Amino acid sequence: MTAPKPPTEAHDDQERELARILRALPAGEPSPELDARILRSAANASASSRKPHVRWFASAGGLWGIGAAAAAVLALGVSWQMLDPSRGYGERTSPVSVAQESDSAVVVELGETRRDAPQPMPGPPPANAPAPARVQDSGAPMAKAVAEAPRPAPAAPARASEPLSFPHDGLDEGVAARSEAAPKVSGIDVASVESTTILTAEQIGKVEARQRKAADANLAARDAAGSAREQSADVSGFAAPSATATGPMKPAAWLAQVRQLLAANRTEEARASLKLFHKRYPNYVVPADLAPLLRE
Amino acid sequence: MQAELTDEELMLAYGAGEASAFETLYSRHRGPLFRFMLHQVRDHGTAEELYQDVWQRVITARARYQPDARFSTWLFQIAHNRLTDHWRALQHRPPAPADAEERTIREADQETPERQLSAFEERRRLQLALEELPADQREVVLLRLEQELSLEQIGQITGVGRETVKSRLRYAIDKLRLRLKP
Repeated sequence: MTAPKPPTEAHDDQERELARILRALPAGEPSPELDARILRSAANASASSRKPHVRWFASAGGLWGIGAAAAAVLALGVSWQMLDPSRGYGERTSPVSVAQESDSAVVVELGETRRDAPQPMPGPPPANAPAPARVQDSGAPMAKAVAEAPRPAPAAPARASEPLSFPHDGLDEGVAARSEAAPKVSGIDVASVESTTILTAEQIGKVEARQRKAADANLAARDAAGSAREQSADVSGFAAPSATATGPMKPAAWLAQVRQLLAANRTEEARASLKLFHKRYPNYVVPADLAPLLRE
Repeated sequence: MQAELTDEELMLAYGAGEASAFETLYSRHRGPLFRFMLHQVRDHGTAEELYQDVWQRVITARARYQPDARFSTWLFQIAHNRLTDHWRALQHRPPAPADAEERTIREADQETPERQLSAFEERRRLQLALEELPADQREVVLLRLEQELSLEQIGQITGVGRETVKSRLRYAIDKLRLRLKP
């Protein structure tokens, strides 16, 4: 380990002679203990200086990490709020939240369970097809695709194999009268829809066709609402609870309707309605007088 | 690997936390620096004390080191400052010990073959001549003869101009030559 000589200014003759003699003088050296002491001091100083450096680095990294996490959380929160501030969480997660009335268009809110909605059948829209549905779920691409898809021709009324049920007896006369001018889906009963049910444009068309039929029936037999209720029951295949224009029937009213069916000796319809009720409200305790019906 | 690095690079590496760089640096400069200190103070114990102080200052200043000048220049500048403090603390340079000549002979006897009497005599005279020099002249001549530093570097170390260094060096060499004449 020879030390590289620094660039020097050459000695002249006199200096060279004196330097030769000077180098021949007894060369003292520091003791090994002194060398060890100095080297140990240098190593300790280096080690102690590294620790604050690491701490500073760690703290700086920690601050950067905390800052990045805070920014990410803030961005997520703002995005979540900006996504659709008009709707709450519960509404976003419901399969089909509510059907709203409109004079010019049918407004159907689509939930997240419609992401796997089947593609609507292609085909030109019928001449008397209602106005296209306006899908309010702006954040769901599939919902847009469903809304923009060609509307199929009204199909035959659904039977028992179709899980959808569209009660009609909740329609008041005013709504029925307005439905003449602008057909619309009103009062889609959430309780009657399976949680996994997928509402497609085709189904919407079926709903509208049936709704038109019901409306016509209501107009024809405005004074006989009971007969219209029977007709809707026939269409749906079983006695489903009625719903108001703004939402599903409440459990108590539903159960009261079941009791009415039992009183009219329409046991099968009452059982089907009660089963549907139990499926819709699994945590609701079925009254003792109706419980045997559910077990049969 | 580290032997190929310059002093300045080693010092920067040590300042960055690489302790092994200091070991290389220390091994390069321990001999010249200690001899410089020993020839200045003429006492081994004092030389060791001052020598350790110099290295301690290097260690302390490791983070502030900037390679504006050669490391050796910086190192001997620290040594010069430490010696200045030493002389200031003593108020004046202590005179040569009374037994200086005897001690010189004794040291020479330990390391010089008796048959090389002329060489021994040369060294003894040079030693005495160095001790008789004023501190500023002795420092300049040691830096010049032992370290082969340029006048500019010596000026940087001692804090005086090049002409002053040149003048001090000239006076010192004349005195040494005069002392060495048979």
